[in-house]
Amino acid sequence: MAAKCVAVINMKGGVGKTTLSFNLSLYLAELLNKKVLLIDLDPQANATIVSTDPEKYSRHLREKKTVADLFVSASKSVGPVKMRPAAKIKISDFIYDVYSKNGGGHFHLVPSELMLSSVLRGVSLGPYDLEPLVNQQVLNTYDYVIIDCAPTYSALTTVALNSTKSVLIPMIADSFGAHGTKLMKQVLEEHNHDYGILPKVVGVVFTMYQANLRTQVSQSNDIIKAWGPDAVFATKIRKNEWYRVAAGRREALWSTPVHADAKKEFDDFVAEFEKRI
Amino acid sequence: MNDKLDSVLHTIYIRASTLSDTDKRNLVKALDYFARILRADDGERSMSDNLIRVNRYFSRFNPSRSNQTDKSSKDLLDFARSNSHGKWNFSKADLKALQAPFWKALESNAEVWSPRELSNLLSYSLRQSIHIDFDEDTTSKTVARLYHEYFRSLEQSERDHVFEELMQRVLSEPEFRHSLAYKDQRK
Repeated sequence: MAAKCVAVINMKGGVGKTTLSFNLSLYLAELLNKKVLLIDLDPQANATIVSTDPEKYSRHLREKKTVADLFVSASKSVGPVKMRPAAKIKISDFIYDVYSKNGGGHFHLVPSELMLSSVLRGVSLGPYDLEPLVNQQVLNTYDYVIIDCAPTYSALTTVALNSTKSVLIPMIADSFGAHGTKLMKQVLEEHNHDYGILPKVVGVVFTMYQANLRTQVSQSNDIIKAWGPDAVFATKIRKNEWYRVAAGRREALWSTPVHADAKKEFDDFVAEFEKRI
Repeated sequence: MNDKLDSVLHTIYIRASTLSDTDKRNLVKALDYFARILRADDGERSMSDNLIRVNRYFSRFNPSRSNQTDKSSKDLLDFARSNSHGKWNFSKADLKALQAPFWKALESNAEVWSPRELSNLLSYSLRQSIHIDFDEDTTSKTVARLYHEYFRSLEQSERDHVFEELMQRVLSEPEFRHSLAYKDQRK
């Protein structure tokens, strides 16, 4: 069965997209034995930083490719504007193995690098999706393909939405987060207008949530009222310092001495994610 | 001695007759201390003041009641909506006592939301979607009433489980709080 694909996206930065993408990918691979491909489509490369060992990543940069190379080598120019498919792209040239267990799940990463921002200028001429890299054959070898997106509406957003056709939207329930989430709604509508694809909303998930703050509850209400109850995860990921500590250690949340309630909360989130996607 | 006091003393007698000798001695001592409280003459406090203090003191040891539940339901709702810091700290007894006045207030102030917005909010909070054919005759009050009916159909334990989030969400709505405050001022 082909992989289920989702872009983790919000127009607002700092809402926990990368933390969520990384922990979700590792949870599915390590605890549920799933085969996961995480594609870091953010030039800031935070998902890459949290998922990789610095030395091994340096070696990867020397010997293999990043998602930036895809945009350089997916097609070649044969005239002023005409593009033609380039040499065959092999996913194995891009893969960084974050976690793998014999006979169990694995978590592969297509890393990013800062250079991705400099190749953006050429993306308007294609490719418009990740199909040259993640073709049907590749999709058949994974259970999940997750794309960690940059918090901007750029050609990279278009590529992510065309590739996954579904979105997971992490959101902090504050005024900036609500604004970013409203922008996200506009982006989805514009994408539908431009490409005829209305991505499915897997759900809005509240991150760094503090239920005892009236302003947070009020802001989250605005999203529930506007998007409808089915578009919003019942599970809320509460604010917990261990997420930051775990990311600094390049570890999953459940590998830290975090309180069992927070682990249970992430269990609930993944269970709800699997039902929704 | 009036009939009410006779009845209380008789209850104490009946309860005491089943106690062990040690517990009986402890009860006699406790009643003796209580008599001293009643006889106390501190010059400032009357006997009724002392009894109020005694009542307050012992109510702390009763887990099923809190100071909040001594208040009327209206007081509790006032407390909940005027808590400007937004810190929610209700006991289970508080939450149970708030359910009826909360729904009454919600139904009579439902017009602060559009019917669909209110439906989204209640559906999310109660984890239940009720099918409503939204047309021009559908009012927010109708939506509130339908969800109230659903809430009443739940087992008490389920009601208690969902009520805290429901109340937090609704009382966090500025328009709803303003509406409650406005109606209070007009009374």
